[in-house]
Amino acid sequence: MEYVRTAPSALKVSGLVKEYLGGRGVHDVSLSVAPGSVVGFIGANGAGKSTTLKCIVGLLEPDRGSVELFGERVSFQRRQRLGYLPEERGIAPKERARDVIAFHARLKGFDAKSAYRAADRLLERIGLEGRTRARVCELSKGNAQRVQILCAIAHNPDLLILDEPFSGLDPIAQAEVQSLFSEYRSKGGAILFSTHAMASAERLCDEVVIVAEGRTAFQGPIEAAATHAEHGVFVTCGDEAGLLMVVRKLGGEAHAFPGKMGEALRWRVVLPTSVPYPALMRAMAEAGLPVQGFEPMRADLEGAFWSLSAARREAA
Amino acid sequence: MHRMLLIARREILAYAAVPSFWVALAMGPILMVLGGLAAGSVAQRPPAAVAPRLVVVDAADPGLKRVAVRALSDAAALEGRGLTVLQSHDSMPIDATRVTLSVAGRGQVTVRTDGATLPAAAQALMRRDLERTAARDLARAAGAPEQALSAGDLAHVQLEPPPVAAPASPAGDGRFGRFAVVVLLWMNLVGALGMLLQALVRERANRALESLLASARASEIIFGKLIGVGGLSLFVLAVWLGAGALVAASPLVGRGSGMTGQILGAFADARSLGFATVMFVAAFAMYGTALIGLGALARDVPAAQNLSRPVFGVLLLVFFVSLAQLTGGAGAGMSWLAWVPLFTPFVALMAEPGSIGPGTMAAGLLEMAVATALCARLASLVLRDQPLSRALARPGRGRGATA
Repeated sequence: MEYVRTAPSALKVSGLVKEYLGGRGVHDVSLSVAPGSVVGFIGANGAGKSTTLKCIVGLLEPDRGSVELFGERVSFQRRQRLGYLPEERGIAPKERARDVIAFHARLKGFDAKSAYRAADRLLERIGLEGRTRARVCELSKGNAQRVQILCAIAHNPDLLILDEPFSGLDPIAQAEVQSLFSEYRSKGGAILFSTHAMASAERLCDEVVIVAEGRTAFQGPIEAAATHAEHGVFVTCGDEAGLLMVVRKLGGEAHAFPGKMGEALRWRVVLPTSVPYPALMRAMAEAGLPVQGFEPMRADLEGAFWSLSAARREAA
Repeated sequence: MHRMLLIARREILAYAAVPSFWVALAMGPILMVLGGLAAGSVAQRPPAAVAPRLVVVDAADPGLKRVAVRALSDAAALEGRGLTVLQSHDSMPIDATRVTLSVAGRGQVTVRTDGATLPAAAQALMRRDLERTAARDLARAAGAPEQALSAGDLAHVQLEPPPVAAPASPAGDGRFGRFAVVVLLWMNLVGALGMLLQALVRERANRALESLLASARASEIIFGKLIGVGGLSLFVLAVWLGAGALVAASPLVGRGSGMTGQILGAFADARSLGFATVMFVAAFAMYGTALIGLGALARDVPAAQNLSRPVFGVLLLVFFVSLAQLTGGAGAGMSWLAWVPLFTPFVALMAEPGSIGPGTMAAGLLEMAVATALCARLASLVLRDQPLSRALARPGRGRGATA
């Protein structure tokens, strides 16, 4: 499904390449974020998500490719309209929550008064108004993380770049942060965030970008992504030869996941659309295969993620 | 500029909020006051009696010389306080008092000493024996019986006290004073560089640097930290030097002309303190930017300590060069090191006033400025990019990206 936009993107990344020693990094990532939209950036560990985000915010200099912010070539001044939450959280632990938020707002151009006003408002918004004088190291991990998110949004950025914003947060904190993002978005802000949590992505995103092996595998709405989900099953089975024979007989393909679970091996079995899951189950039973797990792939974002990631991996 | 100052302010607050900083700040003045008072009490105490070592010099009248030596030797036996009379064939120590006899006219003998004042017994014995000898010589010369002459009328021995030495310049040749300033500067510099490295590595390790880099230019972070930590260290240095100046100016503190006097003299010299401050700023900027570059390479504290060792090694070498300049000898011909930026501030501070020309000094400072700019540029690159991977990446990788 092709997406056609008329308004200039808040962010447009084209053909981004940043390679590390040993061949890792990103090899060809392209994506765009429309103003006011929320885009999920999905990929396996090491797929190149953080590297891409770091290139966008200027922490890394790409080897090739281009980054455009708000319709113009990226520059330090344009980056001042960004808010960034790094993957590995870090704010000065000895500083007070209020001060650290205000400091980041002032770095982005706020005067002292406005910065502290924004800090107070945001701390109140997440229920920490009573702890404005608390040092970051005195806060719980979840609260410290929320303070860091506030640092990213204190200056009312036009685009938020968030690297794994929900990692380390309990479900309640996740819900609060999602609510914060919704409020931010309602004011016209755009968000690009990386995540492993498909549920969060499905709940929050207008679009997703799936990246695998350092390359963009897909960008579009979640519904469009779901159409890429393969018809298949995740099977845990210790009899490799038997499983391969059964799958081949049904016209499908079986791909092993690396690593063993006890004696059994986990497989991604892709079936022809004409073959229903029960047919595979029946064939395995008839062949006497020991089956420890049988989980049909869903035609949703997760299914699409598996399919697109696998396809890219195989192409690579 | 705004961001740079914000980062500087943050560094200052981070250190100034720690009580140990104020304790360390107070230690300098307290030690200086105590040292000054100790020096004062030593200066007010009457000088210990010095046992002079005498050597009699007289080329004109060996007879008088023999008499003088004998009289002084008798006095030495009477004094029993270590008065030593050196014979002419002895090797003469540098601090020996020269007793010079001169015959001004008939029966007129003048005795001069150029060091310590002769003990009373020595003066009396020498006056008596010389008068007798001179009178006898006069009588012999006149062909008259010795007893017929009144020695007091005909012979006169004048004992001149040693000339009063001009008061020593407060700083003497000033070497100790300059070294004290260098030590103070060195201590502050090493301390400040440690703080700077810690400030950077702490943020590198706890990932706060990433957030900072997303909001500020690398150069703003580098110079913000330099200004913050440097400003704080300059404040410490100013308090210490100021305390030194107050102690030096205090009437309670005796100065003397020795090492203490030189040190206090250096602290009382506004030009010397101003020059030391300029050198501190220049040295901190240069070493600081180099250290930030090395610190940015490190991922944690042990790595930073390992990487920063060469810088602190150089500083130790610099200190020993200053020490060599203090003791003379090999250090005497080291003024050429003022051309080497790593040594410029210390060599310039240790050099005798005027021994390094303004041209050399300006060139040294210019070199330091260039070295600082170069280090800042490298540190900026290191902070912004992953340096090792970049350095080891495919050769010829250009900056093809438009980002």
